[in-house]
Amino acid sequence: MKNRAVYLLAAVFAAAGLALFAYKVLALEFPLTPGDVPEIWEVETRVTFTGSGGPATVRLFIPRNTRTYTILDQSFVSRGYALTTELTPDGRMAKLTGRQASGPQTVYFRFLIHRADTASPLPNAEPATVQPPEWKARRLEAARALLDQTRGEGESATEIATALLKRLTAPAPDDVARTLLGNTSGADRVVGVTAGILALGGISARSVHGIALEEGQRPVRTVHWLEVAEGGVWRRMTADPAAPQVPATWFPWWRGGIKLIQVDGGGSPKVRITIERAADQSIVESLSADSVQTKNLLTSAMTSLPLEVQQVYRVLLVVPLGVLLLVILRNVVGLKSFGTFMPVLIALAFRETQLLWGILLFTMIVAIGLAVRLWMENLRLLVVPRLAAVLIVVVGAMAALSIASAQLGLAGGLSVALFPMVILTMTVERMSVIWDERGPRDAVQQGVGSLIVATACYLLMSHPLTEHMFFQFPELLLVVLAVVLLLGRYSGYRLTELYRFRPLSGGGS
Amino acid sequence: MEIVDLYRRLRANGVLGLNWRNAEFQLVHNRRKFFPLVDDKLKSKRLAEAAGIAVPDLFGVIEYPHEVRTFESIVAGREDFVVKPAEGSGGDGILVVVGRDGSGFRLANGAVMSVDEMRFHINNILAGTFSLGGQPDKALIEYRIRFDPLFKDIAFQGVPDIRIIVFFGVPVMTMTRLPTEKSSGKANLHQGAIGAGIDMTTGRTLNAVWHDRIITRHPDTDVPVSGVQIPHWDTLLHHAARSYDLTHLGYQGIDMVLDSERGPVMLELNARPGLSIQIANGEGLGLRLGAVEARLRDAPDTLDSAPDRVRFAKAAFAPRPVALAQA
Repeated sequence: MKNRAVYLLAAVFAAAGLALFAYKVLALEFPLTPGDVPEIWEVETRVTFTGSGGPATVRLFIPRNTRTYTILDQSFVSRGYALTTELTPDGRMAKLTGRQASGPQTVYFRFLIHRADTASPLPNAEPATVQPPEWKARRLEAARALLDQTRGEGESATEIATALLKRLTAPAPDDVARTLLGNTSGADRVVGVTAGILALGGISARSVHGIALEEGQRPVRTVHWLEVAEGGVWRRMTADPAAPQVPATWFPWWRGGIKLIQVDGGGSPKVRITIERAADQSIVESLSADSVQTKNLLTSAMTSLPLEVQQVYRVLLVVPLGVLLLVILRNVVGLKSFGTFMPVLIALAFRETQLLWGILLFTMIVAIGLAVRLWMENLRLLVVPRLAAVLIVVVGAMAALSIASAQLGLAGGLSVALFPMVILTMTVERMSVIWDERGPRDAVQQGVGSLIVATACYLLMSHPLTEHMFFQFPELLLVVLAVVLLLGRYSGYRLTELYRFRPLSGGGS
Repeated sequence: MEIVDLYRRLRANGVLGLNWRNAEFQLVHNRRKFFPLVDDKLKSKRLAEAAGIAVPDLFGVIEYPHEVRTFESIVAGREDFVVKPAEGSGGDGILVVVGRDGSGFRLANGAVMSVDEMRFHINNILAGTFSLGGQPDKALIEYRIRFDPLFKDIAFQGVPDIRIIVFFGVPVMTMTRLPTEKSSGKANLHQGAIGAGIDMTTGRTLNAVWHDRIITRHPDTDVPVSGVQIPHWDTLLHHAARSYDLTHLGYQGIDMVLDSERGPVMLELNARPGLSIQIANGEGLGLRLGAVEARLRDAPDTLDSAPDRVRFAKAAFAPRPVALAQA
C-alpha cells in the first residue's frame, strides 16, 4: 500500500521530468554537453575625481553592439549619482549627475563583452557624412595643403588615408605635420587629425577608440584607429601605415574626437580600465540560451534570471544530486558520516578550495578544533559556551591558515574562508563526544568516512556536465526526487551489512 | 557474482538489515507519537512501574541546571548509584558509581570522580551532549543493580543485561550482553561487549559473539559463555510480552537485568533495537517476524494475552541456527 503510493509518485515525477527533458533535447535541441567556452571579457572602468562641493557630472561613452561584439550586463556603481543616457553624434553616452560632490568621488562602469567567433564582414558605412572639423587659420591651411599633396598619391579613399598617415607618422615630421599634430604624436592624435583632413576633402572618415581584449595589460591601454568609408563599408586602418591591419582583438568603444570620459564640476579626473577574461560558465550558458529560438518560462526558467542569481542556482541545483549520492552511500553502501548533510556542505566548500586543498584544510581545522575541544574538557565548561569557544577556535584556525598560506604564497589556502564554520564546529563537537565515549578509532573512522563521502559528492557535483545538465534542465530535479523516494522504500541490505552479517549466510544453496 | 549470492543467501535466511528493519517494521509498526514513551527513560520507567514491572528505584531527577547542586543531597547517605541521561542512546553518558572514595566517587571502571566532575557531567547531560539530536535532557539518578552472582564470572565489571526483541507483544529473539574489559563495563556490543543468544524455549545461552566473531569462552575470564541457564526466564519473557501493552510500539526491544534481590528489573525500552542480536543467535529475525505476522493474520485471538504470546514464542522459536559460517 505504502509502496504503491511511493512508486506512483516516483513514476509521475520521473515521467514529468524526463518528458520535459526529452522535449528540450529533441524538439528544442538544447545542447546536452556544455559548449566551448566563448570569449567573454569583463571590463571595469573606474573614474575618480575630486569633487568641488557643487554638482558634478560625469559623461562617458557606452559601447554598443557590433557584429562581432555583444555587450552584456552593463552596470554602474555610483553612489549619489543619477544616471541618464543621451545620444550624441559620436554614440550613446551615460550621464551621471551628482548634486553635491565634495572630496574624492568614484564611479564604476562595468560591462561584459562577448566576442563572436565568426569573422564578421565590415560594417556598412552610414550615409551620413562626417562633419568637417572646425579648424582655424594655420591648421586649416596646413590641412588643405597636406590634402592636396596626398590626393595625387592615390585614387581611393583608403589610399589617400594611407598617404596621409604616412606623412603624419614619418620619423621626421615636416612643418605641416607638426602644425597639425602639435606636440603630441600618439595614435589618438594621428587618427583624429587624419579623419579631420579626410572630412575636409569630403571623404567620410572617423577615428575610433577602444581597448585591446588581451590578457596581461595593467592598466589597459586604449587603442585608436581610423575608419574610412569606401564602397559602402567602413574600412579600418591603424595609425601605423606599416601595419595597417586592425587586430581582431581591438574592441571599438567610442568614436570621434572627444575623450571617453568628461567630468564637469570636479578636478583631476582619472580613468582606470581593467579587463579580465571571464571563465564563468553561467555567462556562457545565458548566451547559448539566447540562441535557442523558443524561449518561454518552462524551457528557459533559469536563464531568465539575473546573472548573479543564476550563479547561485548553478550551485544550488547540483546540491540535490550530491544529496542523492549521500543517500546512496549511506543507505545502500552503508558508510557512516557525521551529521546528515554535513558531507554535502563540505563538498560545496571544496568547490571553492579545490579538492586537495579542501581535504588538507578540512583535516587541519578539524584536527586543531578537536585538540582544543578535547583539552577544553578539563575546563568543565557548560555546553553552549563550550560550543561557542570551539566555534571561535575554528574561525581563528581558518584565519590563521589563510594568513599562513598568504605568507607562503599559496593561493589555495586563502579559500579556507569558504568553509561552513558552524558545520565544522558541530563536527568537532560530535567527534569529540565519540572520541570520549567510543574511543579515537571510532571518531577517526567516522571523520574519514565523512571526508570520503564529501569527496565523492564533490567529484559528482563539480563535474561540468552535472552543472550544465541541472542548470539547463532543472526538471531533472524531479527525476532525482523520484529516485530518492524509491530509495526511501529500499529495504535491501547495505553493502557493509553483507560483510557484517556474513556469518549468517550459511545453509541454503 | 559472489556478492549477489551472499545477498540472496542472507535474504533466504531472513537476516534483517537496517533498511529492511526500518522500512518494513520500525516505520510501519511504530507510531511516532509513542516514541517519547521509550526515548525518555523516565517515562518508560513510570509506565513499567504502573504495570507492576520492577524498575531500578529512582533516587532523583535533575532537570534544570540550577538543580545540579541538589545532586549531593540526592546521593547523601548512598554508597552507590547510577547517573544516566533520560534520553541517552547507545549507553553513552552513563556513570556507574560503585562506592565513595573520600569526598569523591569511585566508578565501576575504577576511576574516581570528584563532586565537581560529577556536577559537570550532569550539566553536560542536561545540555543534551548525549541525547538523540542534542536536545536538552534530564539526568536520572537511580539504584545500581547488584547483579545476580550467576553472572559474576561471565561479566566483567559491569551489569550484563538481557535484550528481548518484542514484535506485537511476542518475544521473537533474545540475547544477553556481557560486558568485557574492552567495553569498560558497558553492555553495548559495538563498544566491545559480548552478545550471547538465548534459547527462547529453555532460557539457556547459545553461541556468543564478540566483535562479530563467534566465541565460546569469555575473553577476560575464560569461563564458558554458552549453555548458561538464565534464571527467572519465564518472568523475563512475560515482562517482555507485556511491554507492548505499555508502549503500543509494534517493534521494540526491552532491556532487563537480573538484580540479586529483586530478580528481573527493566532498564529501558528501545524503539530501534540493533540487529547484532541475529549474529548472537546465529539466526535471522525476518523469518520469526514473518511467523508472528502470519499468526496475527490467521489467529489473532491466540496472541491476545501476554501468557498466550509467551507460549507461542516458546513453541515457535526454538533455535534453528543457520550453519554458521566461521568468520
